[in-house]
Amino acid sequence: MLRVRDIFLDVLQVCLRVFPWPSEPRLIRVGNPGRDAPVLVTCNYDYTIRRVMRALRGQNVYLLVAPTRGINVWCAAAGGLFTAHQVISILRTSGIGGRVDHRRVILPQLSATGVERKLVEERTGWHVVFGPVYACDLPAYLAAERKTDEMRKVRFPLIRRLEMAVAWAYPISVIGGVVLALGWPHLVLIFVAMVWAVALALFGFFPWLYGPMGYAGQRNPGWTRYLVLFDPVVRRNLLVWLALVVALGVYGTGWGGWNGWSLVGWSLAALFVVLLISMDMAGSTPLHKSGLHEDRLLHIELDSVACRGRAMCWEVCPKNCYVIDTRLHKASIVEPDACVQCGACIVQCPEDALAFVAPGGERIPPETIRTHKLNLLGRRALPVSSRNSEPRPDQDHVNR
Amino acid sequence: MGTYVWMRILESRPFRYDFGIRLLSLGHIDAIYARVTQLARGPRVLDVGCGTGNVALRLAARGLHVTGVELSPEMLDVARRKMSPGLEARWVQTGAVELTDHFQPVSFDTIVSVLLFSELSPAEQAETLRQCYLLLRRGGQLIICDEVRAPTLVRRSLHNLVRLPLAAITYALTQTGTGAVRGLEEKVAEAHFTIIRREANRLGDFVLLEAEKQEGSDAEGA
Repeated sequence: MLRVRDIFLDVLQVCLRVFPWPSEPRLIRVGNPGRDAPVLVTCNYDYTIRRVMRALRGQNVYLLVAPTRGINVWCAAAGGLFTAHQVISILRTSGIGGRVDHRRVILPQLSATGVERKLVEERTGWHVVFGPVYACDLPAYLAAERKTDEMRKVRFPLIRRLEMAVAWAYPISVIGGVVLALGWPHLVLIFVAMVWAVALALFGFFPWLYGPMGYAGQRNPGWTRYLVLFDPVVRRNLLVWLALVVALGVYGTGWGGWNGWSLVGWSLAALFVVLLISMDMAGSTPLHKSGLHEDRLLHIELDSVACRGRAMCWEVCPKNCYVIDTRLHKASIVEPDACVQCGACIVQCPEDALAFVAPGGERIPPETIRTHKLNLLGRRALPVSSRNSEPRPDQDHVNR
Repeated sequence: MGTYVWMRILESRPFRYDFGIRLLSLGHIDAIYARVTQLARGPRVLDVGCGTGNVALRLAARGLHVTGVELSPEMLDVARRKMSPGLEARWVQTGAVELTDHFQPVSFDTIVSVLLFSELSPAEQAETLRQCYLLLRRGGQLIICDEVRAPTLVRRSLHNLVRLPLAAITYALTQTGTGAVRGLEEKVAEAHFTIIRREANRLGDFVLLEAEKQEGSDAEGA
């Protein structure tokens, strides 16, 4: 049963989804956990914690809330805020060691991008297991003690897409609405309606607008990548804009009493909102890599000589890009274009058999990816070559 | 990826950290770094949460043997870049509750920590203090500088009046911020340290604590 407070918080936190919402790192007893109860870890983004708690109703487990600065699991892991150190911290400071007889801790699969399993195990003696991607799969996972292919894979169903639409529409409509209210209060309503329509349409029709591939190929070079018109991946978003122009025209001539210039003005405003949300829309979903920088469209290189088929890559890949040949003890990449560049496979590979390769041919080695979280987003390709000489994580280093 | 927008901004945060802290402190932070540097006796100094090396590099310039500990590799990259030739410092990328994994007990004369405790959870604060106690020699010195809750309602209101708009601007520009530590002095005392100096700004919302691991102390911070 959802309480009023939960519903209120759900709505508020979805509206403010793009902002961190920290909750105190702590140990939570779910149900009546005994000395052999499973130990789970999550981030300290309040919305996630509440959803995990909801999924765990009826279970008897310990849930550890790691200090990830109020950011969700995948973003924190990709941004270097959910690493082995945050897991070590919560294992040490929560007192969990005294409450259970085992030493097995279950992490969310998407944290594999940031949490170097080996480091946690060496420092704490706890055995790290990566559980399912989604909290809703936890009961089935805990019952079967194994992950299915579906549990391993990121999904982007309609409900999550609408959530993202709200996360975009709310701040844009509030900021734009406040600015308009200062000078043109009569335009506020139509502007807010337009923003919500664009966001809901873009995310609602996302699978049809974007297709299955995302930025597997290259994007346009230079500033033209920001123009929806020329971008092969997001060109179809213009359909949403055209539909909106028609709607605006019908409204303007039927009820608004607009002249031609008003319609042009509103059409341009609508185009701006479409462009703003489309700028890196695919990259803001769990399904695709970011396409903002073509020099950062990396691919994964597998050293099949070094590989011993220990299947960590297969275990943590959120897109099921790998298959393991259990007879030859070798992994192979079967879906290279589906890769979202989260880097989890590289971070976890016990043999260091995986690496990113930049379009220019530069190899970004595992130790760089482990320390600098060059995955998914960010400054990754920038000092690639200079970073190759940086020390390994946790390595003492004397500068002279 | 929900907080995606936030993430994009955050990834370049270390490069704006110094500017952000300077803005947030209205330029006072340099005086604070200088004061900590002046008080540190050394010669073996550990800077926990050294960030971009502002205190560590000043201590190194004084000729002390400095080890800077920082969780963020990007912050350490900035610190290394700021090192002038001839300076010597040791940098270790690790968490504040993992100090004893890297250093031997009783291996430091001074431990300093500026604006770290406000980033830690209460449990982490206690654990970090416990480990600092183990690492310091008897008579060793602990210097903590951080934001605390102002002591009276009037001062707290004044603090909020000045602080909130400033914090918003700083956060928008640099994604840098600090929060107040609650009960810092009590926590330092609970970790068996003896506080020997307390300096605060006029509002009482920023303190410098100097504490000692007593010579005759039996407790080893169990």
